[in-house]
Amino acid sequence: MRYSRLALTFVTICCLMGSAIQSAKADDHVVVADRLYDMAGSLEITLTPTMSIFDKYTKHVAASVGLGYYFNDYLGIEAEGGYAFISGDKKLLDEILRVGVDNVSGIERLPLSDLKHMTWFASGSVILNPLYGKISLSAESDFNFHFYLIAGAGVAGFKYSTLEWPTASEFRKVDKDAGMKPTFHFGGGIRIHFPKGFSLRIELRDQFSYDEYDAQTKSEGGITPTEKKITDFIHITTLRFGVCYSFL
Amino acid sequence: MKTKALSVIVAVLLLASVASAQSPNERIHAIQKRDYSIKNKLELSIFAGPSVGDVFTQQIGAGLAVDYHFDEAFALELSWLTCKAPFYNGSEQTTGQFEGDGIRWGAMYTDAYDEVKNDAQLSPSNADLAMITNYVGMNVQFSPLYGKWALFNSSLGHADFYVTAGGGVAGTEFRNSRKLWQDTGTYFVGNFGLGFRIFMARWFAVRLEVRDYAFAAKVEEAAEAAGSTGAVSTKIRNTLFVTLGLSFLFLGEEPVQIWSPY
Repeated sequence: MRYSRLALTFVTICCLMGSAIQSAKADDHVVVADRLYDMAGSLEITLTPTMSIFDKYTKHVAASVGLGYYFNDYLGIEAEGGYAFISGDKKLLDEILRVGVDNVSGIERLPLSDLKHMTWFASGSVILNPLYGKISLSAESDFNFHFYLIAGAGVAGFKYSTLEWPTASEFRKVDKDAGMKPTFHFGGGIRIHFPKGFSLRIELRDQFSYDEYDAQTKSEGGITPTEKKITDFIHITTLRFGVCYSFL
Repeated sequence: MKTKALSVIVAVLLLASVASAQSPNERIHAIQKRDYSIKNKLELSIFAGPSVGDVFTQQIGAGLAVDYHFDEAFALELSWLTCKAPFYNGSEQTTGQFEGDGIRWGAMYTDAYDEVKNDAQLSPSNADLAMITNYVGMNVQFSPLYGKWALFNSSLGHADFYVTAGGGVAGTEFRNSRKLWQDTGTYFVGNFGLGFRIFMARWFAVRLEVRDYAFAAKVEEAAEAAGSTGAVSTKIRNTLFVTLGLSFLFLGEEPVQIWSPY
């Protein structure tokens, strides 16, 4: 699944770049004329509702606030902080636990990767706007857009579910703090410009963090759990809809 | 009175005939100099790509699509998506259970499946593991957006963006606990997606598309399979394919070039 995610990003970028580098027609001396929007010198604030997609066992719905500055039309920086209002396990985890409850009875920390869910984050990013374009909706109204790539780093707080066993066949999930970890992210999106300094950013972003996790496992038919260390990257892929307002 | 009514009708008819004689390309569009037209074109596409986002399964799909574009916005598409050689299931080991990973393109269970099975001694439901083998269906495509863009203000690209929705039938299967492939039935499959068509020439485009195929899987593991409980599991299965396609455009008409400020 991780390879697919990378392949998706790679193919998207290649496709956009490949098509864009075809030569301009002889009569198109100005590539896209009458550019209405330029990011140079823009200081903007962004409010971004976010939801995670492609998670294995976790789900996130978050909101973040960002402040960005663009040195020119192509390059900008952004600082951002966010909080996950919904951060927890998906139904799928409960389903597979219920079916195999006898096999995990007594285990406190499940031997599964990507169990950790993010509760808050703070990050800094570099934004590159290689593409500027115009799209028309049914040939009647036009929108100006920037396509952008984003990458950066930051920190985030994580939690994960542990199991408590009131009886041998009955479990209860309890959230445990997994601490703060450094995170990295990359992604891409489209910014659709509206008049009076407003724009809408639609973005796909993968946020990842290295994780070491002391889990427990049982051999087939075993009774006593044994310790097992899991090392993995936690990946959280998010779909983000940012409403931006530019001051300058 | 009759003369007045007649004059009005004649005037309306005259205006209507003038309006209908006017090429749609002569209207003032929001984006002028539309270099690429798909109206009345027949589009033949080949495409391939992986499924993404599913926790336990991974597939690679490839296929063919034929689109007829009624106008710049609407098209009807016939498509075939294959993740396995059609009409052949591999060598039969037991009744209805087959061996043959080579005829299935990239169909496999993910690391998460191995982790759940081997480390946690747990198991996803069989319905979570059902995979599409071959799909044939029909879609309606709506392309409301057409755009141009510049890369670092130096070169120009043209694309149209579309949404698509439709349905068809698909064969499905899953790999049981004996690691043999087992037919899990033919289902009605609904799909919807979105994508864009990047025009490289008037007869050639590259298509990047994301399409979700959904069906209600009902899977019963064969009773003779080792470790089988014979349980029936049901679930709405979603398989999201990201595909890259090459499209060849035939027929249709050349767009009329007019001056524009864009």
